[in-house]
Parts: sequence; C-alpha cells; structure tokens
Amino acid sequence: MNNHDRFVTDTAADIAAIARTEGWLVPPAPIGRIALRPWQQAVFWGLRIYIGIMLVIMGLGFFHVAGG
Amino acid sequence: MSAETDILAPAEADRITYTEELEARLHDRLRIQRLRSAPRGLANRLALGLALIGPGLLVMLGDNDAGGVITYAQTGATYGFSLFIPLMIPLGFIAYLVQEMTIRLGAVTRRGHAEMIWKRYGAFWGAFSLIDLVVANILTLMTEFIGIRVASAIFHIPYLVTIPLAFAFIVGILVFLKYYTWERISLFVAAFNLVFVPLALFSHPDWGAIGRTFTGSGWALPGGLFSAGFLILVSANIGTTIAPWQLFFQQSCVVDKGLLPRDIAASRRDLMLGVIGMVAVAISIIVISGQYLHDLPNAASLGDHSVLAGIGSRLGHGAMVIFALGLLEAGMIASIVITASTAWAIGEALDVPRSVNISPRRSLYFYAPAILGTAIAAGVLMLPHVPVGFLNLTVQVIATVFMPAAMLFLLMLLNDRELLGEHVNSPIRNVLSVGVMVMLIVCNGLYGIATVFPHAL
Repeated sequence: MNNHDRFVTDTAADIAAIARTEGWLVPPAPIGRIALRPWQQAVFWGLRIYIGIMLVIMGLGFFHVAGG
Repeated sequence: MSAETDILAPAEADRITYTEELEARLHDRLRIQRLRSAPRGLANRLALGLALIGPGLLVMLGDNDAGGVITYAQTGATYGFSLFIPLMIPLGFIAYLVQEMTIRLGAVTRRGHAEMIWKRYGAFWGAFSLIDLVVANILTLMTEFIGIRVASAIFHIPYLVTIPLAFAFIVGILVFLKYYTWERISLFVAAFNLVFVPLALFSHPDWGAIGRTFTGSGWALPGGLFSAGFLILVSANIGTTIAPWQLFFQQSCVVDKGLLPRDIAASRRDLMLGVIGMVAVAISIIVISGQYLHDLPNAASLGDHSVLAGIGSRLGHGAMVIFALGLLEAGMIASIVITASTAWAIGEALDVPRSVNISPRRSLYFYAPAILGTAIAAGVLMLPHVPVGFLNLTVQVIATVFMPAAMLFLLMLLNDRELLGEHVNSPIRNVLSVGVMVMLIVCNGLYGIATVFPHAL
C-alpha cells in the first residue's frame, strides 16, 4: 500500500471491517445481457441518422461562418 | 481502535487481500465512516460534508468550461440582458434532473456508465455510445485548450509553454495520484470557477435591468425566435449545461469514490451545490458581457481574444486579468474531468482495471487512451493558426446533438428494476427526461432548418 502517510490510523482490522460491513468483498451483482426491443433499435438508429445529419449541418454552419 | 475492529480478529483481517484500487477506496470509506460516527458537532458535520462532496461539484463546475465561458459571453454580448439570464435557472434544474440519475445508477450498481451500457445492451450499442463520447470529448477538449491558450497570452506566457504545462498537470494528477488527492486538487481548481461572481458583482451592472429580465423585459429577439443566430445560442447554452461526458463522468466518479446507496442523499446535495455554482457563474458571465460587450460587432462569433479585449477596454486591466484567470481555470478543470471521463469510459468498455487509485504500470489501457485524446486536443491547439470563436458554439451544439442518444441509454437503465430495484425512476422523472430529449432535438432541428433554409422559418 502506497499512501502510508494518509492512512496511519487505519489498521488492517479497520479496513477489513469496513470492507465486510459495506459489502466490498462481495463482487457487484452480475449484469445480464438483454436485447434491445425492435422499437428501441429503431429509435437508436433514428438518433444515429439525426446525429449524422446534424453533424453535416453543423459543419455547413461552421464553414459558412468561418468562411465569412 | 474503533468499534468496527471488534468484528474481526487481527489475524483474520491480515489474511484478507485487496486490489490496489479497493484498498485505497476502503481507506476513503473509513474516513467517511469515522466522520459519521463522530460526535455531531459543527466541525465534524462540516468535515463530513466536505468529505462527501466531489462528483457533483466537479461535474457542474467542470461544465462551466472555457467553451462555456465564451458561449455565455457571446450570449450576453449578442442579446444583452435578455431571457438568457432567467433561462439559466431552468437549465440548472435540467442539469440536476439528468445528473441525479447517474448518482443513483452509480451508487446502486457500483458500475460506471459505459460498463452498464456495454454489459446490459452488448458491445455494439456500447461502442455506439462510446464513439460519440470520445469524439465529443476530444472536440470539447480543444475548446478548453483554446481558453488556456488565450488566457496565457494575457499573462504574457507563450502558449507553447502553457499548453504542455497544462497537459502535464492534467495527466500527472490523474496518473500519479490516488482518487482522494486527485478529487481534492480538482475541487481546489474548480473553486476558481467562482471568480466570475465577484467580478460581476463589482462591475456595477444595471441591477434593475437584470431584475426586469425575470419579468419578461428584454425578451424581444432582434433576429426573431427562429433565427439561426438565436437557435444556435439556445442550443449552445443547453450544450454547456448538459453534455454526454457529464453522464459518464459523474457515474464513474461516484463509483470510484466508493459512494453507496446510503450516500445518495449527500451526493444529491453535492450536485445541487454544483448546480447553484454553475448557474451563478453562468449568469455572472452573461451579466458582465451583457453590460459591457453588448454593442460589439459580430457578438455571436466573438472569440476568446475579443471577449478579453472587450473586458479590458471597458472594465480595466484588472478585470481582464481576473476574467483570464477564470477562463484559464475553466479550461483546466474541464480538461481534468473530461480526461477522467474518457479514461473511465474506455477502461469500463475494455473491462480493464479502472480507477484513479490504480498505478499506471498496472493499467496502461485505462490511462493511455485518455492521455492520447487529451494530447490530440492539446496538439491541435499548439498549431499557430487555429480558427476559434464560432468553433466554441459549434462544439457546444455538437454536445447537444449527441445528448439524446446518451440520455435514452440512461433512461432505459434508470427504468431497469432488475438493476436498480426501488431506486428506479419515478414516472414524473421519466416524463421530464423525455421532455428534455425532445427539447434538444427540436432546438437542434430548428437550428438545422434555419441554417440550411435561412428563409424557411
């Protein structure tokens, strides 16, 4: 452990105790994979198209102003 | 030494081994636990409050970045004391609404935002959101280095010196410090964001005119409601308030700080404090520029140089130096938090050890991509002739373009009862969040139409 100066009052027992009481020794619950529903996929693809179009427009706006 | 040590025998405690990042986090948690169990005096309560602040303040003050400072200045210069002053308050509520969700998601799942998307919806959709984030982050970092570059000129220091120094500082504190020290230093830097507030207070603005903006005075728009100039400023101001990096940053920051469901209330207070700071700074800058830069030509395209020169000529050299200090700080704090957000997000996506508590030799893949992204932005700004001014507005608006997709992932996760249990979103939060997404799309859509078909609206 590196930061001895900061943690001089922390004993191994203190650390072990808080690790147990706050559940740090137990790994977080696994996250199962779920598939996006068709309507969700449609919305995300729609947003992707929206991003693409907006980026082109932002580029046009930028170069229009930057070009005077 | 304390009650908790009674739970385990010393020999048993010694046998437990921890990863580097977990051990540092446990020390941080122990500090908070001791403050919680200490007598409830004013000093202890203050110390506990200070120990629990961090992610919320950093995300909201980091949100007032160099690009944001210039956007607010352009807004004030273009419209003076207008509806943009009262508008900052609902924008603050929107920021709170959005960011609060990341607190619950991080504290309950103990996982970062990119990890949640990656693991819940798969690599394809994870990459989908990660690419948006990294692109937006690099662009935003460029605006931060613009601010640093311009501010350094005021202090007569060549940008070829300040930009590498800033880069070394941003990367150095991320790579070599533990989370707690990194957070405290970042908070110290963030505090300088507030210099704009006294600057506004002492600049003798027309308080009567400012007050009247809250009753509808000055809301008339010279170019009309649907002018491209107005719509881009609306989108840019929203973009300075909520941006994809903020979602990724705050959730991962909550996780790396080790905050748990019992800390959600304190984290909300931390966030609210940050929102108040963000709104106060934003209004201060609009007030300063509305009072003193309103009659400048091409106000909507003012670059950092023009803003500082305008402040200097109207308010004096001292005010210009303070504004430059604020601009420098805004660029620094935003670069610090955006670099961290990239590191956490890519670390989570690659499923490598990911924590500011990790030494660089243990997790090169956590630090390297973020350092590279920040180096690209810094490198571009070391080129001699970089077009600024409108670039700031463009980058702010690009952030809002990416935001609806990022928010949709957030909303889906926040409605996942299997992940969040009782902490899922309430229906009203969902309605408000969808409303924000629709507002973003409509604002940007109108701007797009006004740009492509200038006479259509």
